[in-house]
Amino acid sequence: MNLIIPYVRFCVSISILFLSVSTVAQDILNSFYQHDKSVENINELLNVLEENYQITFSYNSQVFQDYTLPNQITATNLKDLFSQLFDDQGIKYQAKSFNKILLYGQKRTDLRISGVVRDKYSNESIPGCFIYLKNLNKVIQSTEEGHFYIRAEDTDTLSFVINALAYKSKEIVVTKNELDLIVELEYKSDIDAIIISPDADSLAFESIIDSESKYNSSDFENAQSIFGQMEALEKIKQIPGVHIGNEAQNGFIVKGGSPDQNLILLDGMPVYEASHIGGVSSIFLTPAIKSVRLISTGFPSQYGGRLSSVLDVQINEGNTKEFKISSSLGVSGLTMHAEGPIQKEKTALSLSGRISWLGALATPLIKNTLDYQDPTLRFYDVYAKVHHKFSPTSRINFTFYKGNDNISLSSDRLDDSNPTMTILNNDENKLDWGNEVFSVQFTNALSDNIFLSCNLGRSTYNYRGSGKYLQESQFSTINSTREVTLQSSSMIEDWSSSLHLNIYDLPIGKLKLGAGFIAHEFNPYLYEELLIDGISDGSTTTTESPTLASEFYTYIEDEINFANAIILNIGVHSNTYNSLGFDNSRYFNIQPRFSFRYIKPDHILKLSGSRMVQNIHLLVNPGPGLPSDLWVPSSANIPPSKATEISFNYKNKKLNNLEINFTSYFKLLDNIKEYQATSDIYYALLQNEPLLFFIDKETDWRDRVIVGEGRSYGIGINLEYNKHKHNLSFSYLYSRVFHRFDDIDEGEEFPSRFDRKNNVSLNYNFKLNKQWHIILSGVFGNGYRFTLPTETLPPDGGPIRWISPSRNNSKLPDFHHVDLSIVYTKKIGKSKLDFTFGAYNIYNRYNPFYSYIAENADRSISLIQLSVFPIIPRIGVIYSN
Amino acid sequence: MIRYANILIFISLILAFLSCVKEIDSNAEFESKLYVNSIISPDTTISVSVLHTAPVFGDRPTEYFVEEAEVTIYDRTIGERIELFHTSEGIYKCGVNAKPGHSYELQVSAPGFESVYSAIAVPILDNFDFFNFSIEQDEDIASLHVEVEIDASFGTDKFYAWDVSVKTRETSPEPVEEGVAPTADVAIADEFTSLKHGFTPTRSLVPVEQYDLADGKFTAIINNAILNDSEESSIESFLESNKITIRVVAVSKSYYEYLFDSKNAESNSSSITVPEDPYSNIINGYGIFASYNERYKSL
Repeated sequence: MNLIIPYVRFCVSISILFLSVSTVAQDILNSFYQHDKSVENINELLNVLEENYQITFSYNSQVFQDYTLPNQITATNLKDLFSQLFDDQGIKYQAKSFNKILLYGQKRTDLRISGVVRDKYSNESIPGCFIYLKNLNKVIQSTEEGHFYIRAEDTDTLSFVINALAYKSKEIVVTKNELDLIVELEYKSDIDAIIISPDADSLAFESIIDSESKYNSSDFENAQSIFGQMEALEKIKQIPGVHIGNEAQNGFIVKGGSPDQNLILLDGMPVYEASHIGGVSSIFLTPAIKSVRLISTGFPSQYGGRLSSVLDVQINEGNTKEFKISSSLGVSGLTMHAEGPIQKEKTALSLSGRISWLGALATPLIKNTLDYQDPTLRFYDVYAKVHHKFSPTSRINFTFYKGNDNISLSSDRLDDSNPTMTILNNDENKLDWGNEVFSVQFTNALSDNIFLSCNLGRSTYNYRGSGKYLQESQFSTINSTREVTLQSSSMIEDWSSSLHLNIYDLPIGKLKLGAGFIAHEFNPYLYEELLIDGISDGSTTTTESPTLASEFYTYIEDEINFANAIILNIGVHSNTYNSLGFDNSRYFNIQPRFSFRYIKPDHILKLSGSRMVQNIHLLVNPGPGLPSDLWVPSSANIPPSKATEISFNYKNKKLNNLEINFTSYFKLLDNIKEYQATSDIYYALLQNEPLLFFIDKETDWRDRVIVGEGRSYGIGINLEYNKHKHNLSFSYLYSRVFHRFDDIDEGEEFPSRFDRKNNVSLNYNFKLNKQWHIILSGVFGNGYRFTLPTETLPPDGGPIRWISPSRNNSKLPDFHHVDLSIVYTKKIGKSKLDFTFGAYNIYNRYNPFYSYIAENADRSISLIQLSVFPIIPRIGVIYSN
Repeated sequence: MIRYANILIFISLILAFLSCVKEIDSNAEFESKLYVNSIISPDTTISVSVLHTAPVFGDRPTEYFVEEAEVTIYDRTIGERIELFHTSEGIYKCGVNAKPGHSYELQVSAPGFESVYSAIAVPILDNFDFFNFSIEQDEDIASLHVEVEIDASFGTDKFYAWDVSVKTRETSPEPVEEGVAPTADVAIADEFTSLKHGFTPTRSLVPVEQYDLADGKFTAIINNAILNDSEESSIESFLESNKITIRVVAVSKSYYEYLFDSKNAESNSSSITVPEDPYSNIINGYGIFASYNERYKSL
């Protein structure tokens, strides 16, 4: 709490500073004025004023069509002058900035415009467009389905500019009511997407998205996975404060929160594991993705359920005008995508799939280095979406996704090092996990200004692991066998339904409201059996603890749009959680949200606050990131986690081609979880020790979960430079995360495992010409924290006792790498081939994946680091038409 | 639940990705601290062992004794201060026995080390009795259940542990007098892991779980292996040929915590476990300052 008060003061001071800018603009109106009687008409007078006061008037010449200058002007300041010049002539004036004054005619009638924004070539709707109303100097945002509604009073002409990421902005002027307006935006060409040309209107309002980093498929060209495939999640990881845990980790970390604190939505349905084996790729297939939006501060009221971020992924609806196909071939696998109309202009289908042949490449290595027989290693993704339009403002989508990872390894090892005994170990291991999502989305305009969307769907996550370990030993003439069977699975099934309304043009502003219901079913299962000489030792354990839980949420958010482009969002999200399995616990939480945005063409200031609650939790074993399998619901002893955050952002685009984005946040965490696992088997595995040691009869996870609190804060800067063929982005974030548990370090605060002080990201794109394109990217971050024993007690005949002075007292070495990709584009008719060459980790840095303590031959102790990815070549080809 | 099988697969997979293993600098900061142990009881003279810790990484000492320490025991109950004197190898002694129900404070300071402190009270154990015993058969495994009732009054904390000795009647000496600690009876004392060395508490004791203790009664479940080795088929014939002696020990809370900690450490005693800090009630250092009061009784 010591830091929050200075932090709030700081944010308020900055806010006052920038608000004062607008008052300065008003001050100019009080400037002294002495009328020059030689001036004969209004145009001459305005020129004189512009010259003498260094101001600029902005007006339509028709405003002064029938204007005559008053005979006598007695004004002594500009305000009085304008009053005398314009009040009786039906002309209004408005100071827009330090030196800009807008003049416009008296409004006469009301105008109403309702419509939808969509892609010119595919007819797909474009979500979340920003619409700048030039006459009114206001910004409104379309719905996620591209719908919008505008009403302007006392005017017969309305001019507005529609902006959407990666689309050319479009200005539209209407002079009569338009209630079925379809606005088609043109996608920026490849070159435009890379060499972003500064467009004043576009830049001003794209910047609103500062804390809701949003990307579409063109942005992913500059973000590539380890093996060089375009990768949506890699783009997200270029955002300050977003990164992977360590090399080969699944998931991603946002501002020091654990991976389970990120809500990942695929067309509105949650997915629980977004990464494939070892983080080599995400489940998001780039050609199948329409847009990716990451919200990490200032959460809109409609979102809830996680503490750190929301990753909202929308799938391509499909082109209703023409067929398109694309395919990519790389080191890790093959990707195919096809989309096209089923019924022209009405119904479209989008199909995508990926299969990995990583296993085929890795098999010889696994056989040679680890002596495993017949290893299997594969993953796949399948996406399908059918989209049907009933009318421009009414449509239905069906989405299907299925993805799976599968690994199996088996081995026979003979240990005859002891002359009196031989031991044969046989291991069989299998592991697979995957998500499956099916959902239906229906959207409709209930009236000109009320838009409805409904979602219904099912999402499942399955994790299954099994292992059979047979040890046959022969001592003299005595044979014995020990056979251990371990089976575990964790299945989550979610049924989700929601209803959302966007109501424009209410007296209180634009209203968003909605409600949703999620039914969770958790089915963790564990089976352990030990057979000694074929007979059970009596310790067979079967654990099943299916748990049902439900969440009902409602939200309401009001967006009030003031003149001078001040947007205030105030809302609240409520959540009622019920657990029906192990215990009947119930939690009700109110989560207030607000965001204040002050927008000027050159800069934007945003202050936001939110409270988030998380009802389901991932229990993570210490050590490297497997697809951690044990998602568990809140219960009587495990209350929901909570986070209260306040953040401040400032973005400036005033400098030529350079955009500066300053960000800071402070977050308090409550009821955070720590999973206390006692055994660390990595050391043994790396030392090739037998596994029979590790049967653990402690099956109730609830006994191992402890609850505490924490805080995190950060301050960062992001620079974007765009000029001609160059696009450079640099970001730096200083952040800290601390936790406190009564049962750890006597209640003292300690840095979180994900505490990473310095985070740097650099991305440079250079478009040499239409054929050649170079991408250079790099990241740097301090190593993650872990608990290292530094002290040992004197030997007393018992086990060696090591002591760690405090939790997470040590850090892994820093994590950094630089990647290079060179893309050569060859156009063949209407088709295009992109060849990619390059390398991940070009200077072959051995980044830490995991560390462990090893005893040397002289009984001294060393700390050993395991690294995973050295320099890895990138070779691939993408075909598209 | 830890997924051993899965982790094996994953580690194997990682190794397949041309992994690299190398030694890194631990950057571990180390400051040696005092490691002090003293177990006091009414049956023994007070003694304290003073050692020091060593770094995990880097050179380790050949000996850990601290021989220039100032060791003081303060009897808070009667306000008496007792100085202890170094004898050998970090052992400090005095000729005073602890008294049941008294509170003691230990202070140790030594050049180059931060001074350490601790305080405990010596529990009172008047007597105990058996009031029921039976052999329970579970499939092929038999166990002897002995219900024990303790007669004690020691504040609100009631921490107990027990131990058992089984001897055949031919070799065992005559039963000892009930309710008296057999300090002079070497034969009986030898049947148990001795508590009498006064430094490191014995790990052979079985702590009585608090939820097993109701109204001073608990059930001691005696080692299955002992019964399985016996050819006796009934409790009567088993007791005819075997003498079972049970030791019940009232222990200080620190001793009780130590027993659980030791139990956990031994069950995870391979080199592959995550190091968990040992239990300690020594402020600014490590070790334990504990007390006990024991009684024996034979069936």
